[in-house]
Amino acid sequence: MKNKLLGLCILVMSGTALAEEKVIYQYKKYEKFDLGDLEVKGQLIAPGDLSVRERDRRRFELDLYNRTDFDKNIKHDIQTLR
Amino acid sequence: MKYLVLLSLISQLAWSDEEVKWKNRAEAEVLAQQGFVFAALDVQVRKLAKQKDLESSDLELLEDLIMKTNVEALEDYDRKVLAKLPVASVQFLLGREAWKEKKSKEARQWLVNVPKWHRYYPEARFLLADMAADAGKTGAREAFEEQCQSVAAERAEEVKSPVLKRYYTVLSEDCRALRARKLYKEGKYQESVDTYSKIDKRSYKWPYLLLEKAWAHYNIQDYNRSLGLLVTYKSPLLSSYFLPEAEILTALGYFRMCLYDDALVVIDQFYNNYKPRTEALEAMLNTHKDSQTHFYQLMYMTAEQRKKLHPFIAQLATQVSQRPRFALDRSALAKVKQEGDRLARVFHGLSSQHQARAWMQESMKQLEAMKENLVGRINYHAKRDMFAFVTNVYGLSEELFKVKLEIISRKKDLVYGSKRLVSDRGRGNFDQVKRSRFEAFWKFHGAFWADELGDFSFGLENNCATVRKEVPLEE
Repeated sequence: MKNKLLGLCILVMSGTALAEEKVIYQYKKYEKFDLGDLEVKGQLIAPGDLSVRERDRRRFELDLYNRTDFDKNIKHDIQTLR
Repeated sequence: MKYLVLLSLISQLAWSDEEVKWKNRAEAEVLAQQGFVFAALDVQVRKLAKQKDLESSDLELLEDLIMKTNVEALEDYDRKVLAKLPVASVQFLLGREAWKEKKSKEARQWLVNVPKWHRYYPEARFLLADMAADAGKTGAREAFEEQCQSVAAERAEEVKSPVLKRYYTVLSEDCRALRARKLYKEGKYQESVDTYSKIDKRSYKWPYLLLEKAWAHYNIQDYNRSLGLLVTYKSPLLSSYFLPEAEILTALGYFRMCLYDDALVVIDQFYNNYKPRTEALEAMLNTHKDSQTHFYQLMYMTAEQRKKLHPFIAQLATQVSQRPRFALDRSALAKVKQEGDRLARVFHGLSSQHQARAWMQESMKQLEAMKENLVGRINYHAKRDMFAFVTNVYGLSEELFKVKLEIISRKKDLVYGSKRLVSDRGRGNFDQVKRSRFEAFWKFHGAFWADELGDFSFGLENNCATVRKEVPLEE
């Protein structure tokens, strides 16, 4: 039993040792960015110029004086007649 | 010596005749024959009030007495008593009282009974015209107006008494003005203007009707003509006429043409002119508001006495006292006083046991009461007219304040909107003067000519168009 277990461990370890390979990393030595070629896809929602939008002012329109009749004058005329 | 004896005998006979005339009860016929018409009127009304069957001779006497006194002498009697008397003057009085209380149906029933020959026929037609207009009966209104105006004008030519002549003349003018006023109320402003234009400039009512004509022009947006009419009040001939409403209409005319600065000047002038005057008048009114005679005395002051008063109060008192009512009441009061004095002399001439003393004393008390009533009536009406003037001024100053607020609001709108009115206030031009083919045109050279009064027009251009306010660029 012990022999079998030892043999299994040797087998796994040898597999691991065989799996480790040397990896070589290589980086770019030069990279160029063309900023003029950049494009952004989307919608322009901001206004082109600065302006103040007029707020809706509440306007109170006063009912100005107007004469619709002269009934009081008629009554006054009769009363001042006699 | 013989002639002296003869003279004393004749006077004794006359004295005994005087004593025989006055019986133990008052008789209206006898009083009327002796010229005591007010006393006779009171006796006759009381007599008829007790009778169930009324004789035509009694009713004729009553009518005759009312014509010689005035119909207002019956105002203090119970209306139920008066309603039983089928006399035209009484029916006119009852109809007029019902009209004042807005009881049109009842008023109409009384007033249609006043016959054409009667003194109060034109006035009855005037009231009927007013009620027909309110009921929307244009045809009836026009008929009544025509009857009132034509009959009143005829009577004004016929009567000799200056008091009655003035009464009929003013009534005729009132009837003509009634037509114009009713057209105005119906919204027929141009027709109303045409009717006002037919009123003679020499009439008593003309200065007051100028304002109404100006309102009609205002409502058809002819603001230049409206302002021209109102400037007539600045002429020296009309300087004694105080019409605060003319100021507010002037301010409104400028406002509608967006001449805001002119409107503000008018408003400020109103406050500066009328405030001290109104305060002086109010102080006088508050001091004498409980007096039963102060305003009566004010009405009948002479020109010299009025010079001692505040000038505005003096002018207002003059304006109020020129109304026909005060002339009629003063005439009636003079007659009542005279009659009272004469009756007192007759009374004191009677012997202490005379059978007529009791009722004669009663008649004297009635005359005294009538005199007090007349004085009280004159006092009341004068006081009421002056109080009404002050109240009117306060009401109009509130309206002017609203105009001022509206102008400030409009100016603020212009600022917020970066705008300005199209032009500054210029002198105006003749192209803006509108006139009909019946109207002539003269330029104003600093003088008011009497025949031109009431025909003025401004030539101002409407200033309400706005333009963008340009901000100057900074260098």
